[in-house]
Amino acid sequence: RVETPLSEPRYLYYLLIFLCSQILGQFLCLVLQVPQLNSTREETRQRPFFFAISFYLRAQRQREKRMGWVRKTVDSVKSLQVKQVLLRAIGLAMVFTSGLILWKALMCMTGTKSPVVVVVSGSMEPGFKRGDALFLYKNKDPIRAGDIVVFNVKGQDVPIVHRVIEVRNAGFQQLHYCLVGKTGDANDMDDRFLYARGQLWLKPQHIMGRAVGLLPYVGWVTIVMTEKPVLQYILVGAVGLLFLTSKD
Amino acid sequence: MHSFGFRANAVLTFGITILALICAMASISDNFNSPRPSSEIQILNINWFQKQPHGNDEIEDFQVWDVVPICLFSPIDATAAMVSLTMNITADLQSLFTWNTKQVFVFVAAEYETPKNALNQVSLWDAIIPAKEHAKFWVQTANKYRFVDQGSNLRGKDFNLTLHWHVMPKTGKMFANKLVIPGYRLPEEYR
Repeated sequence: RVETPLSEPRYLYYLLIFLCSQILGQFLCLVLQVPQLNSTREETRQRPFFFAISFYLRAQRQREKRMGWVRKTVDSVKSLQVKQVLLRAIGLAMVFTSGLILWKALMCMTGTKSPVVVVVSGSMEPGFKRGDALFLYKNKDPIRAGDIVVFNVKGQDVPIVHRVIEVRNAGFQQLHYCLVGKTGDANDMDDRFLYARGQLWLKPQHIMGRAVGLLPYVGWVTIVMTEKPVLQYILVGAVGLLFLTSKD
Repeated sequence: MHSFGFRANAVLTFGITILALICAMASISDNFNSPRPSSEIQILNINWFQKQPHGNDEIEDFQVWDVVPICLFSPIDATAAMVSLTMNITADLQSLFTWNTKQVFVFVAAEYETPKNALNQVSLWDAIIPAKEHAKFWVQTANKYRFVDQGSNLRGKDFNLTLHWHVMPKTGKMFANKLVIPGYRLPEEYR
């Protein structure tokens, strides 16, 4: 079974979900509106300087206006009302939906299940170091020798990034090719020992995508959070607290 | 408004935005470079050209590594033909380097056609060029990787040698291209 890139109708489906969630969120916010919030917004409108900075900075500034240290936070937690909590939760949900839709859109555009991957091993040194983020792209173009591909081996959940050294195009239609990769630029051995038992070649369905771009050092955040899961909980907890207790 | 938390948050957000912008601009600046690489590959000698018997000895002779005999994991078809050749590779890839280039990965691949496969590409040799000073090189080498076919179609085969280069940047988009040098031919008989 050949994996096809994610198809066009899904764009519309995700866009629909996004619009519905945004409309619902705004409607709920209107219904639950409390007077304090209105005054906060008017205050910021009197400062045109803020509109020159990005919207995110402006929203953050509003939230941080009365954020102090632990004592103030505890005070504000104590003074929460149901409506406020609900509003925060809706705001949070809207941000999450936007993020999710953005990720899905990226998946559709790049044709891969995972448009950004992080390099965790040093097998592609000195080109890709541990902690680099790779951007993937997949389309109907056949893979050729020299492409850096990210592939999944059956039975393993961590994908592997290697370079293709041999391509055999067994068929006059495209996409029936088989290829084998090299165990990274730092090694000279071909990586058949990494494949599943009895598998000699990589087929199109094993390939997640080709690496087309690189951002160094960005992946360290993901690596650190994966290797020490406690940091994930701390981060989520801190962000949750921030959203629930800010005055916006 | 003037708390430590607010200031740290503002600095971090602004810093990350500016960094992302700089990475994008660095990558875009690579597009203004118009490279003009050149290369020549000469086959000095066909060292041996054999049909693989169904055994391990031949393959072990050819291996570059000695950790694991590769035949354990990739049994070659009993009728596979294998070639070892010595090549003279000269290339001038200095025009590929920009300020945003980390390294250039260069490799030589043999391309040919068989009745079973419309396209076969076999990588023979590769190298990493870390800096512009090393980009003009001359190397005489035997093939690093097996030049083997999935059958015995290599006798008298015409093939192209292509020099591929893959420019790996410090940040941003990677570029790859190749130079095709046609007109090579394998001998008619095994030796």
